[in-house]
Amino acid sequence: MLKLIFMLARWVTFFGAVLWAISGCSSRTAAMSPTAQSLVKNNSQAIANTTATSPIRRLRVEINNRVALLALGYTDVHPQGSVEVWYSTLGEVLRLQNGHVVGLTGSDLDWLQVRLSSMPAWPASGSSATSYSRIRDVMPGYRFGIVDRLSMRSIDAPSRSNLLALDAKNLRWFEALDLDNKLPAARFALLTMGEKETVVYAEQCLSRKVCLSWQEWPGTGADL
Amino acid sequence: MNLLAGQAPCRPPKIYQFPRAILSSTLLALLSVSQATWAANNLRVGVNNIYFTAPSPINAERLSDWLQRQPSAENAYFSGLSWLVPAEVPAQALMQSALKSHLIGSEWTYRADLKARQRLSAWLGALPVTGRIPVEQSDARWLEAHPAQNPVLAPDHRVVVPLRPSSVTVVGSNGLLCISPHIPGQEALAYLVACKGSSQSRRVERVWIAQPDGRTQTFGVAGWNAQAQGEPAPGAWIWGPSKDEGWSDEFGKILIEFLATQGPFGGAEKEAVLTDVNNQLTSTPPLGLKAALRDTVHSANDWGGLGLLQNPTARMAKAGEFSINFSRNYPYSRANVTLQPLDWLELTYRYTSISEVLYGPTDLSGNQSYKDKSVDLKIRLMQESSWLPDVSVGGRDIAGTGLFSGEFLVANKRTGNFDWSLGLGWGSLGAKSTLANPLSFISNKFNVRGGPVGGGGQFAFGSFFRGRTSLFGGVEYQTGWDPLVLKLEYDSNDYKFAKQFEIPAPKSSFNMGAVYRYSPFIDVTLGLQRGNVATLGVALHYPLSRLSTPKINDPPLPRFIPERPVVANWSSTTTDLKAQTGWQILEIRKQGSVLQIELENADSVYWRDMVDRATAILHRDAPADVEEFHFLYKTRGIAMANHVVSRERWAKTKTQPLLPSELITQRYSLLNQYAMADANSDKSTIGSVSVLSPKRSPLTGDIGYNLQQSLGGPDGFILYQVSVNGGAELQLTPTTWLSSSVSVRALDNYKKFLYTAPSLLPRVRTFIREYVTTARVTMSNLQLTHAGQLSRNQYYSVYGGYLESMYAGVGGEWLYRPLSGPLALGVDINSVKQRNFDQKFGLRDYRTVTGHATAYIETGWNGVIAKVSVGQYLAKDRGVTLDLSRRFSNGVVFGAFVTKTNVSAVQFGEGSFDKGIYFSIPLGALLTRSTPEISVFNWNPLTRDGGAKLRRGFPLYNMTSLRDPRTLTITPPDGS
Repeated sequence: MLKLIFMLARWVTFFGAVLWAISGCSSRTAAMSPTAQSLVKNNSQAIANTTATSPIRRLRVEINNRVALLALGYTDVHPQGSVEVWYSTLGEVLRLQNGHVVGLTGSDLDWLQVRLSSMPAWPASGSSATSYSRIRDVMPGYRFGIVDRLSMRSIDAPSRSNLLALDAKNLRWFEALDLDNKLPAARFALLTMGEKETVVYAEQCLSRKVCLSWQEWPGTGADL
Repeated sequence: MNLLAGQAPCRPPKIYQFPRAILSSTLLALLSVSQATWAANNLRVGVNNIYFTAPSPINAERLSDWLQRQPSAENAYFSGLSWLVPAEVPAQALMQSALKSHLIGSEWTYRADLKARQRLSAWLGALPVTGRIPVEQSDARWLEAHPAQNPVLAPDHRVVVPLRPSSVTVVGSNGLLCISPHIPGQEALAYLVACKGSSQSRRVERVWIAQPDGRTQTFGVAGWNAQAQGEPAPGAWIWGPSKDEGWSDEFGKILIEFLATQGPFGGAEKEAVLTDVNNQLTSTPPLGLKAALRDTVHSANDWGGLGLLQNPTARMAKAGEFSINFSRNYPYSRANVTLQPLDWLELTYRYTSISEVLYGPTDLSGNQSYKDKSVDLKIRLMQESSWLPDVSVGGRDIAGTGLFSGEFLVANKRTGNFDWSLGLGWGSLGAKSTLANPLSFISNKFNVRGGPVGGGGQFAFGSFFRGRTSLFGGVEYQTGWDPLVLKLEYDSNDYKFAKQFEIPAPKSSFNMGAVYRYSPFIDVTLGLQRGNVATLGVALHYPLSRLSTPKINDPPLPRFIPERPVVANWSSTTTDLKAQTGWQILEIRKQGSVLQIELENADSVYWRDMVDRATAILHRDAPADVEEFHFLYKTRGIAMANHVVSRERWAKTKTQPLLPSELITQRYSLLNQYAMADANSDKSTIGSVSVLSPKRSPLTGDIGYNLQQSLGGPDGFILYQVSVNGGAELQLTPTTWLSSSVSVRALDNYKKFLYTAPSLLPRVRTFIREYVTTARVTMSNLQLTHAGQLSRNQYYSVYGGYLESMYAGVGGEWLYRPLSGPLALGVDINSVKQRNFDQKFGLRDYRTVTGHATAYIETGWNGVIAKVSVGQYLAKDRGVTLDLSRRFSNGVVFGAFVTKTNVSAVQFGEGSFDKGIYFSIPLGALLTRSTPEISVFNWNPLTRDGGAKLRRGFPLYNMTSLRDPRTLTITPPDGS
C-alpha cells in the first residue's frame, strides 16, 4: 500500500495530460471511472469511519498526504523493547519500536536494518536533551550503514500535525533532531493512561521527500 | 516466533566454504606477483564471518521460519544472506568454466595482460561453486506475507547469514584483490581510487558491482558516461578495469555474475590475511569523492526534440519516451509532440502559430493566426564513446510547407556536467550562410536551395542539405542543484523569412536559457533569445514504454490455497472468471486429468496476467485430479489458440520462488501455445465430460463516450465533439453476427466548422464537415458478418451493410496467418457506395471497388512490425501504404504510415500525399483496472481524398491477434 501511494502520487500529474490525449478514441468508461476516482478520492474518510469492533489493531499511516491503514501482525521481543510489526494490504512491513520507525520492508523506500544505540528516554520538560544515534541500511541504492546523530527533547504541542481525534494539548510532545540535518526532525506524542505512557502519534521522515505520520486507529483515548 | 530475540542457536556455525585449499592456491598466485603498482593488495578471505548457517534445515521448512529460529545478533547481516542450492551448482560451474576459458584468451580478454589473466583464472578457478540464489527479501516477517518469495528449504539446501562485513572488495584488473573499509556515502569510484590510485581510476569508464544480496549492477563512471548510482554495500565486490587494459564489458558482466554467487566478502577483522611482498596495508577511500555521480539530463528545445533552445543536439531520449511540449517565442507559439520509437530515432510533429499573421481571408478563418504544420526527424548515426561524440543527422519541417525547413548534422560530447554540441546547419539552421556547402564537392546542385513548398506535405528532397551552411552549437550545464540546467547556444538562423513572416531583426546570435525540472516528467524553460525576446517552454514527458499502473480496482483474486478441492464446485466459476478476466466461458469439459475451458471472444493485451487470473479461479474450483488447464480461445466461433497451464507448476509459483533451473521448464509450460491442429483436436469430445456449459445471451451491447478532435483547421485551432456511443451485437450463429453502433453528438463547437476543403479527386473523405455536422444522431455501423476457417492457417470473412460512417456495401477478406509466425498475408476486396451525410440509411451516387493485398511482417528487430498494403483506394487511385510501428513490451505502440498512390501532388492537394503518426496505449497499462481496450491517437495532418482506405469493422488480422508470436510476452513493467 505504501508503495502504491508513492506510485499513485507520481501519477497524478501525468495522468491528466495523457488521459486527455488518448481519450480521443476510447469508448469505454468502465475502467476509467474507478481510475479517476482512485486519483481524486481521498480514502481518509473511509478510514475515519473504521470502528474499533475488529480485534485487529490498526495503524493509520499518512504518507505525503495519502492515507493507508495497516494491521498489526506481530509484537516481537527485542532487548531495547518490543517491536510492533505492521502490515499493509500489499504486505509491506513497517516496524515501530516505542514510536520509532525501526524498519520498512517491501516499499519503494526501505529501511532494512535499523539499529539504535539505545532507546532514548523521553526527557522531562525543561531538562536537557537526550542524545543517541541510529544506524540504518536504506534501499534502493544500497546506502548501508548511514549513521544519524539524534537528539531528543521535549517540545510544546505543535499547532499543526496530522493528529486526529485527540487533543494535542493533552499529550506530551517530543522532537528528535538530526544533528547533521540529513533528515527533518521527527515528532512523538505520548498519552498517559494511568501509570502507563504510550506513544500514540508520531511523524518521521524516511528521506527528505518521504515523510510519514502514524496513529493507532481508532485511537486510544479518543474521548480526550 | 521472534526474529530478534530468537531462541537457542540451532547448531554451531560452520565455516563458510572458502576452503584452505583455495587460500593456498591464491597465496601462491599472489606471491608470484612482484608488481608494486597495486596500491592496496591485501587479500582477506572471510573464513570466520559466518553468523549462522543451516546445514540441515528441516525438510520443507520456510526460510522465514528458519530465520526466526536463529538467535539474535546485533551484527548479523541479513542483506548478505545466502541461500545455497545444490541444483544450481552445475549452471554456476559452467559459468566458472566459461570465465576460465575466456581468461585463457578470447575475443573478450585477449588484449588484457597475460599475467593478470592467469592470476584471475587461478583465483576464480579456486572459488567454490556455491549454488547461491538471491532471495527477494531477507526479512522474515516480509517473507511470511509473501509465500511466493519465501523459499522452501530442502534438506540439501544451506542458508548462510554472515556477520556484517566492514569492507568492500575490488577485484583488480591485475588479478589481485584490494579490500577497502566500507564508508557510507561512497560510490564505487571511491574504492577504485583507493585501490588503483587516482590517475589509473580516471581511466575507468564502467564499473560492475556484485552486491551482498546477490544482485549485480553496472554503471558508467567516466566524465562522458557517468550515471547516478547507489553505493557498494559492505561485502560487495567491484570490478572496474581501466579502458586501456583490454577487458571487455562482456567479460565484466559474466565475472560479476559469478562473484555474486559467492556472497558478501570481507567480514570479521580476525580473518586470515594474505599480503603480497610489499605488505601494504588496506587503503582507505579518500574523503574527497563526496559528490555523487549524476545522470546526464537532456531536455527539449523550442521545437520539441532534444536540444538546446533553438538548436537540435545529437542526443536521444530512451526508446518509448513521449513528450508534449509547448513553447512561446514571439511571434511563434509551438505545440510539439515527440515520439522516440527507437533508441536512435526521434520523430516530432508540431503546430506553429505565428502571431500577427492571419491564417487566411477573414471571411474564412476570422482573426485566427497563421498555423503551420511540420514534421521533424532525427537519426543518430554514432553513439558516444570515450573519445567520439554522439552524432545525429536530421531535418526540421521535412514535409511541411518548408517555412522553417532546415537540415543538420550535429555532434555532442559530454564532459562531466557539461554537454557540448557543435553542428552544421542547412536551410533555416544555416541561414546565416557563414560557410559554403561542404557537399558541393559532390555536385554543384548542393549550392542552390529551393524555397518553401507551396502545397506543403512533400518531402522536399530537392532542397535537403542544399544551399549555404552555418555552424551552430552550444553547451548545456547541469548545475549543482539537480533540477536546474543552464543552456547557451549560438543560433545560426537569421530569421529572414518570406515578407509576410518577417520578424524584428535579432540583436544577438546567442540565446540563453534555464531549464527547471519541476518533476521527473515536467520541465519549464525560461530564456532570452535573439537578444530581444523572452521565451517560455513547458514540456511534459514520460517513458510510455514503462507505463504501468497498479490494479487496485480489479476484484481481489480468491485466496490461494495449495490444497485442491476434493469435489468440484462450479457454482461461481463463470461469474468469477468473467469478473477477473472479462472472458465468457462457452463450455468446460473434463477429459481425464485435463480440463478444457472453451472461451468465446476472449480479449486481452496482457494475456499472461489474464491466464494467471483465470487459473486462480479454476484451481479453486476444479477437482483434485485435474492436472492441466487448457484454455481454448474461440474468436467468432473459430478456434484460434490454446494456452496450457500445468496446475502443479502454477501452484508452485504461488507458494515458493522457483529456482532458475525450474524457471526454464515453467516458462515452457506456461507459455506453450499449441499448433492450431492441436487446438482443434483439443475440441474432441471423445471421452470428455461437459462439466459446465453456461447459458448466454446472443445479444450483447455496451455504451460509452467518444471524443473526437481536429487540430489546425482554418475554422478554429481545435474543433471537437463529444458523443455518446451505443454498440450492440446479435450472434446469429457462432460464426455469424449482426453488429451496429449508434452515436449521439452531445457536445461540440461545430458552429465554427464552416470550411469544406476543395478537391480535384472524387470526394471520398473531404466531405468530413458535412458528415459530422448534418445530424446529431448517426448510425456509424450496421453490418452482417460471417467469418470462418479455410484450413489450419487460413481464415476468411464476408460482410455487408453500413460498413462505416461514410460507406456501405459488401466485401470479403482472406488471411493466411500461421500460429506464432512472423508473416501474415491478407487480401480484402469491397464494393461500396457512399452514404448520405446524415449517416442514416440513404446512399449517395458515388460507387467504387476498393481493396488491398497486405503483408504483415513481424521483423523480429526491436519489436518493429511492418505492414505493406498494395491496392485500390476509395478514390479509385492505386498505390501502396507502408506502416511501420514499434511495439514495446508493455504493449504501447509508436508508429507512422505513408501512402503514395498514382495521383499527383497537385491532384492530391494540400499535403501532397497521405501520411501520419500514431501511438496506441493499452488502457490496462494506464488504468487501475484491467481492460483489454487499446486507445489510439492518430495524427493525420489533413483529411484528403487520395490514399483513403475503407475503415472496415472486423479486420481478420485483429480478430486473429492471439496468433501473434508475442501474445504471451506483452506484460506491464514491474509495479503493476
